[in-house]
Amino acid sequence: MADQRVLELMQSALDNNLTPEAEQELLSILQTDQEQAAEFDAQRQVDAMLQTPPHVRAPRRLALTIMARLAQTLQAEDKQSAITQAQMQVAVQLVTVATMPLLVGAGYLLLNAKSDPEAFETMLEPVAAMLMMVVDVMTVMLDEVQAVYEQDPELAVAMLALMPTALLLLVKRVLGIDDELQD
Amino acid sequence: MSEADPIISQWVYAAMQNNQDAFAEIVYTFQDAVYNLCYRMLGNHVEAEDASQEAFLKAFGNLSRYDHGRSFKTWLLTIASNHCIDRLRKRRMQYISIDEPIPATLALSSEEALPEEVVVSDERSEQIQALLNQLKPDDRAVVVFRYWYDYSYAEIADMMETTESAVKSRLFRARKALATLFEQTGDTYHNSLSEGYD
Repeated sequence: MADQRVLELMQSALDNNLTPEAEQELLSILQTDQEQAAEFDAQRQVDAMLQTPPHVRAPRRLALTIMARLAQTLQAEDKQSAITQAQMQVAVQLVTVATMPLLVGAGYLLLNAKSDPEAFETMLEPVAAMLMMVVDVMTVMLDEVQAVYEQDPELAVAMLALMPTALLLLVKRVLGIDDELQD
Repeated sequence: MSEADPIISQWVYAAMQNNQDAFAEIVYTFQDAVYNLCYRMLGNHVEAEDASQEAFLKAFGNLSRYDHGRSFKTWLLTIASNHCIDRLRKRRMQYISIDEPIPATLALSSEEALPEEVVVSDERSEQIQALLNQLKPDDRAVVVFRYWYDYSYAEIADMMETTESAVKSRLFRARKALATLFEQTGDTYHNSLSEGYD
């Protein structure tokens, strides 16, 4: 603790920031302690030497090199971004194509059931509910994909690619197709 | 704490939109400061140039994290300093067995006056650099920021994510190490110096 106090006093002295009381305190320490006096002398000499600011200028080519490297980096990023955007478009189209049979099938079921009022009544509710659920789930998933796209475009594409499978599993689960097949 | 310059802020906002001309203005404005810091930290012109490039590119990639209420120069120098400290740590083993001799011509005596006004010669500058190269990376950064960039203890503490008291201790320790090095400048062998001040 005492050393820390001496250090503070010496530092303040080097910064020309000593109060008269602190100056007196430091002086009395230096007069009674040879080791501290030698230490302070060494600190003062180094401090004086470091006060002279050595300055080196940047080489002329530095700015040009930095800008060239930056241009290269940005160009590579643009290229990557264009590729990812193309991947995203393809993925969206694949999702549309993959979910289309599901929607067409549901429509077909509804239309056929129309000729049989009893069957129509039985079908209408679950098919309509399924369609609404599929659309809702797709909306939520697409929102998620869009959010992820900002951070990680490649992950977003992977999520899109999994969407048809996820929807199919969901529909099978809701309609109990697996259970029926097992039975 | 230094405040942000509105022109610099304008350049930063433009650079964030990938405006390369705006970033070029930033590079031209701060290249000397960054290069000087890297050279003082690394003690080698080739490495300093490479580190400066990396520091500017890192800064460009992190412009969105810059707090416009604070000094851009301080933020940029912090990036450069951290990059240099990382480099020095990576080559620490090599650094310990450094074969760069401390110039025997440098001698300090209490009679020898070193006025602030005198323009330091290249030779003296190199001599100081050779001594500085013997310090630990963190201590070296503190000396450079305090003496040659005129940052306050609070600013240095903020840049180096430490306390003012720790900055003062490091400064004291660094000066003590430098004083020891001065005393030993007459010695031919100095390989024990860099490890000797923990």
